[in-house]
Amino acid sequence: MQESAVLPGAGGPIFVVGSPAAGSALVREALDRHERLAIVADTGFLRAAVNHQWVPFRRSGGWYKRLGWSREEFSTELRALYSGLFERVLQQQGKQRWGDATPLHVWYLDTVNRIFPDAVVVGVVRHPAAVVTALVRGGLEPLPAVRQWRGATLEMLLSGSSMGGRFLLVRYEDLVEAPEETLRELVALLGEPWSDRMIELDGLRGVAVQGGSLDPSTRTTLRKRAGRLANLFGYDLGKPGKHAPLPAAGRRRRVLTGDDLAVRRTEFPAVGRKRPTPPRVDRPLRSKQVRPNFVRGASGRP
Amino acid sequence: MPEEPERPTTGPIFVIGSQGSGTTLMRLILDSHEDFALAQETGFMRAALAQLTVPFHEAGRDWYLRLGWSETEMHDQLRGFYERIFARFAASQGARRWGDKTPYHIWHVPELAQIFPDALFLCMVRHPGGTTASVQSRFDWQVPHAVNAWVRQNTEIALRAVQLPGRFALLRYEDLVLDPETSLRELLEWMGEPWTPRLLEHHVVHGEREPRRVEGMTSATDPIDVERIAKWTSKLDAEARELLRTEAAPLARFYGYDVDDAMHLSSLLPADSARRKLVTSADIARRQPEHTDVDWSPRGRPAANRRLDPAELWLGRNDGKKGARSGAGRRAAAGTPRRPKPDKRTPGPPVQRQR
Repeated sequence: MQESAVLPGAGGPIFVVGSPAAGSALVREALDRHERLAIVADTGFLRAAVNHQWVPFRRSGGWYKRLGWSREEFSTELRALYSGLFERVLQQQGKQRWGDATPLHVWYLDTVNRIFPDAVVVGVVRHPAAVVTALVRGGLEPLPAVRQWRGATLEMLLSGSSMGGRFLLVRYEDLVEAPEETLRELVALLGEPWSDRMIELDGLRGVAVQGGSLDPSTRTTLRKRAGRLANLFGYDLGKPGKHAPLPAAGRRRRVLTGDDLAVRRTEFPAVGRKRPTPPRVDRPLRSKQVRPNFVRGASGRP
Repeated sequence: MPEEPERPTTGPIFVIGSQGSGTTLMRLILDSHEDFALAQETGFMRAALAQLTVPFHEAGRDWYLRLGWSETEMHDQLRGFYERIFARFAASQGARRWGDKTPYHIWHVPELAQIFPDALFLCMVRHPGGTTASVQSRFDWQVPHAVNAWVRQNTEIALRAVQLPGRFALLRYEDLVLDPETSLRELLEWMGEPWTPRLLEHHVVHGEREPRRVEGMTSATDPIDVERIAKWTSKLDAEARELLRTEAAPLARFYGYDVDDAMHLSSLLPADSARRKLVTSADIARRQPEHTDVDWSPRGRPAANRRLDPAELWLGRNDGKKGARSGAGRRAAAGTPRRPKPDKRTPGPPVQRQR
């Protein structure tokens, strides 16, 4: 397996994405401690960026095209707008490279590629049993929780495996079991020097890998709907908390690139190629399909 | 009459008004001017609001504040962005001043005025019967929805107009159609722009351009047609006209209309006014206290024109029941609505909170 060359995106913004409860916040905190990196938590701004292209609750998109702008030109303008906004964080913190960690941006990897072609995406994956347990504890029903893990993780796999060295996959379990090794590989692939500050993060110390405590019916659902995908990432649903090492190119043992994932996909043909459908809020807000409704008791309701 | 403050003469021009009130006609007329470029309806302010509150994302409410930007600074950033988009369009048309015509920007006047402090607002108002018949035939709106929309939107117009002295003017569709030259000369003078006879030949000017069919199924090459003023009287049935009487009569009177007479048009201007057609915010402010039978309480914005904050709104499927009678709406009107399928990914109200 060939090691990816120096990243084409080195120096561009960094997007940390993943399924909810998969550990993207921990990756963000570790990266944000780096002297050169400022990673802002959970802005969701790419959802707003897409609204520039498809104005909410309109019948058709592409208003800027009627003003004579091509999609590429408009994307360049959007890049200038958002880069300018994030650069203020760099100025305030005296850092050089900005990033954003919003789990829902997993549904906007096409948008990332279009607006920020030099961006690097860091995808975070975690054992589905642990994620589903966390989401169910947070109030979600088991089936939607399984769907959230499967949808976000599959999207990450399918989009990330075509991004080459601009997509980097980190498993939460690797991060907490071997933080220094994992983060060293990650920053090297990001084209950044090592920083000791990254492993001084409290959240990285003494965290036990949780396997999750699911009831039998949820475990069956998980196995049926997400079993093969979990296997691709080295997880064994029969043994929560256990995970096999993932084969990466070169000397790496922890972080996979999009190229590594592409190879991995060939070994798991049953996982399929069909892109999952994004949640309703992460699709263009076409007036024919969706409309906003007032939450009961909302203030200012007409 | 209160004096109008000095007007900005270089900023954008926003044409607003109820759907079916002649906003497209006004856009086509102004776009015929050598110095102006008004593109087809963009609706961009909903996108601008999405930048201030990321739609349906709890943590997205203050995202730019967390990057260190104040709301005013964020407005400046958005202004810069939209200026670039629209100004290049204007330059490509050989124009120096840009504008936008989007009827629902009625609900975005405060944000537009903040983001574009030198913008002017031109509002079109039309007889509620004319507006109702227009949206009924063109967009298949149901009459109660159309009348309700006219009342809410035109109340909002009057309320916003008085908040923007010097920056807000109003023209009635009927005045424009009956006496275009006087109406447009007064408008141009108010805008601080030179008169051009091209404004009276917008259908010829646009005949040389593409496309001929523009927003709202309007033909860009149709000249002004006086007969359209009273056309609605043959379109609306007795039930619809009764609804106009019960729901819209006081506000219609405020705007100089009689809901039963398409040709009645009383002046909105004082006898000593130098203007005969163009109504300014000062004129509206003067008339408001005289019309105590109008309900002047502020009307809530429609959900689609608000910040899409998950504490206030949730996103549902469009079942077509709102007012339009096309697609699913036809089924709903016929009493056979398709049973909405439960959303398997984002369960319904309230919006599922994610981390």
